[in-house]
Amino acid sequence: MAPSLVVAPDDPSADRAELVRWAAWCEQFSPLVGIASPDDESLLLDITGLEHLFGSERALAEQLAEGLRRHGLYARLAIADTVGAAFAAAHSAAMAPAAAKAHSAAGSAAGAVENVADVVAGDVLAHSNVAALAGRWAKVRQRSGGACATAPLRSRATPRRGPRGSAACGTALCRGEKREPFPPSPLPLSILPPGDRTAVESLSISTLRLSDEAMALLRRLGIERIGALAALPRCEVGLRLGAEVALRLEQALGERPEPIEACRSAEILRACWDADDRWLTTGDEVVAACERLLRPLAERLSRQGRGALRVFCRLECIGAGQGGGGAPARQGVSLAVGLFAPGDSAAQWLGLLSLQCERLSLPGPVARVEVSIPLTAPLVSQQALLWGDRTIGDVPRGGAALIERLCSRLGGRAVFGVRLTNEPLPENAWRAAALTALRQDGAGDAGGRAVRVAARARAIPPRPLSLFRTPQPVAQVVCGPDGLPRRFQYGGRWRQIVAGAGPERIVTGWWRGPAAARDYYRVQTASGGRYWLFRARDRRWYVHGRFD
Amino acid sequence: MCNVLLYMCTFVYLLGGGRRQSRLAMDEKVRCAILCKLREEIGRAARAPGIERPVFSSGLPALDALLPEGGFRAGTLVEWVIEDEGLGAEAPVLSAAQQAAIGGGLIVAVDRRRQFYPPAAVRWGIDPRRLIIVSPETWADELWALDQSLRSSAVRAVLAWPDRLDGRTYRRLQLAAEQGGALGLLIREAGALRQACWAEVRLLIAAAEAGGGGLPGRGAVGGAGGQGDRLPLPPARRLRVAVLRTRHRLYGRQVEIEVDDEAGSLRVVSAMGDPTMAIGRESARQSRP
Repeated sequence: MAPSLVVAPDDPSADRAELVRWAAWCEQFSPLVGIASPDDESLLLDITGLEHLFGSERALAEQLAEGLRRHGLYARLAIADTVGAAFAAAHSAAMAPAAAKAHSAAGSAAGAVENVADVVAGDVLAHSNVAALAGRWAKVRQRSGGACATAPLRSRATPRRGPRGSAACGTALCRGEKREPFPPSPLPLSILPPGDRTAVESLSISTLRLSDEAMALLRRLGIERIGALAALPRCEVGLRLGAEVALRLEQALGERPEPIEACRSAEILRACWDADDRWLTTGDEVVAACERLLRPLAERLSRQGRGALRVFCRLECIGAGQGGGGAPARQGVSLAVGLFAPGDSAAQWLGLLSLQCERLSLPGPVARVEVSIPLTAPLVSQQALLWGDRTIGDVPRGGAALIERLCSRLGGRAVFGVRLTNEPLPENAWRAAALTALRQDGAGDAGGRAVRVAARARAIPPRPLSLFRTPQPVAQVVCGPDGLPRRFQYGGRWRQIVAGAGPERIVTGWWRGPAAARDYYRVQTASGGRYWLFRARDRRWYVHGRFD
Repeated sequence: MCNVLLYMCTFVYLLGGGRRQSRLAMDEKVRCAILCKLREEIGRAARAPGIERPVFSSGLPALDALLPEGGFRAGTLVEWVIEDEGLGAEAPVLSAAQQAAIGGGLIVAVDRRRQFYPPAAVRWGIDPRRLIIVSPETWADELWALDQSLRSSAVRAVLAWPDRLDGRTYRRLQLAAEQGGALGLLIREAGALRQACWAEVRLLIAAAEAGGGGLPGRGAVGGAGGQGDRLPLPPARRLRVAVLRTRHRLYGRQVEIEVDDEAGSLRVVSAMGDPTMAIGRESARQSRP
């Protein structure tokens, strides 16, 4: 349908890094740029007292939009008195037609499906010859004490639901390609008049940054606009509809302050060491060299109140061949360490690097060691508890050390957490969640979501405790007159089915990739073993798991 | 400690040259009582000193009643030998892990087979937010991951499916568990019964009856070509859980349980005291360390 569409795996860290990069770019328009919470998709700019530098608020917005357009980004902008109001205006569905029109004018390299999804979400698309780029932009003017914000640009490859329950599009971020500038189009800018409460109240409640549960509750009550919500007795809103609803409402109306947390792109800390006359030949020497390089970096990070989430080490080894200019060829070896939580201890990093050095076979003596810390986050300090262990999120602090050690030696792909999904296909009903080199902030309602998904997992028919990653074809199946299996050959022997349940039909939508339609049966063999069989669309039988 | 050494000397004496003379003089019941007391003393002395670990329920009160300490002690290894695949025998293991993780702490599943399916584990009460899965490539990595997980004080239970464990490896894991306080739950195939076991408790799980769950046995359903009527699948299956041995003690008592896949629950059907099945099998197959 869209052969030119490029789909990349979901990488929240990369998305966030890209967003931070654009936040830094926006600092030419405002001294205070932050990322909207909890959606993590919008940038906020404090433009208090800055309009005279650009002529007017509209001129400022136009210059910002033009600058983005030159980079191939097409954003939706809003100016309001409060962060909540600006966010709501930027995400208001009232702007969707403008976005659709703009996108239509921009061309349609991306698939039509994406276009539809984006319009529904009210996103704004960027044109490129390979992919679409989604971004939401909110810009805020705060008249008193002013903060203003701009929005992040994030990209995803997997469709998922936004915090307001709107379908967000699956898009891929295009980086580095030469992009054609957008053709002129109406500026998707919404400026709410200063002090005009009715403008805010006319917006939909779906723009209030509420959770799905809160949205469902409001919809059940027939509350569609912010004005309808504001008309309720304020003292009862928090009690009856939840503290979250009251908070977001008051933030949007300016009754409760909402500071913008500045987002600054941290510099990548680097250090390197070159061997003058003596190359490193043993792992201990390499670790010692890393220690000399990492200790000053740890001190710098500690002074900034930040900790490393990812540490890289690159070793240049002297190879056997000849390089350019007759010098010995050099071969690079990279080591990467991911941390569960930000850490500023060089000893901790070295311990993890040592785990990798133990298993490392160097192609030759090391002539150069370079270390870098590409990903950092604010250090989290927690008071010691009188009873119980200190925790990082749901994980005890000791668990973080274990995770880091396991990841360091076995690799991040071999150690993972569990994220349940709502996907019907059994192999997609969960996904491995990376545990290291992730920012813990912005988790939002992750805990509550996990509980809800787990409750849904219990509501579906039983699933086997052992599931084969790839369904195993059944060599032979004997079916009864009703077409149901009676015997099957698996593991080199025939198994008589004495009882069974099914079929449970599992079908995936075409929009989730290659469509699958499977009829699953839970069968019990004469020996008491239970298996999970299915018949695929091609009428072939597979064993997908065992009820161990 | 001197007391223990004295008992040990007595134990050696009883089993050694002095056994013949003593047997004549000593009543059989007294001899058994002394042996039991010796085992308990040796067991206590062999435990890591100074650390009193909690005891977790298995999730099945009737099974707890069969265990000498009323459950599984933290910082120990428990070996679950499963007679055949697909019996539902991992449900009680998950129940034990879930009990151990009550009140916080992580559950680590070291799964080199890459078959462990978390959505199904959730049905058995495992909190996915506290579950960490490790999928090592090699046996050496699996062993290292097991060792590290057991050694961590943040871990309450470690699930593993090791295909081979020798005495030295067992001892290494045992020391790691003692240090960290995690409960090591080792799930093994029936072939492990022929190997020595250093775990605190060894259990055997088998189908309670042919066909399981009250279904007719082989041949009762389906003709020669397997064309007969198929019965509806009962929601629950019956399993026999036999405590083959605990540390320094042969057992053989067993309990019959029902595993309900639909509800994700376990239920005790009956506790049985027939030791012949378990002890006979155990003594015939295993060589004690």
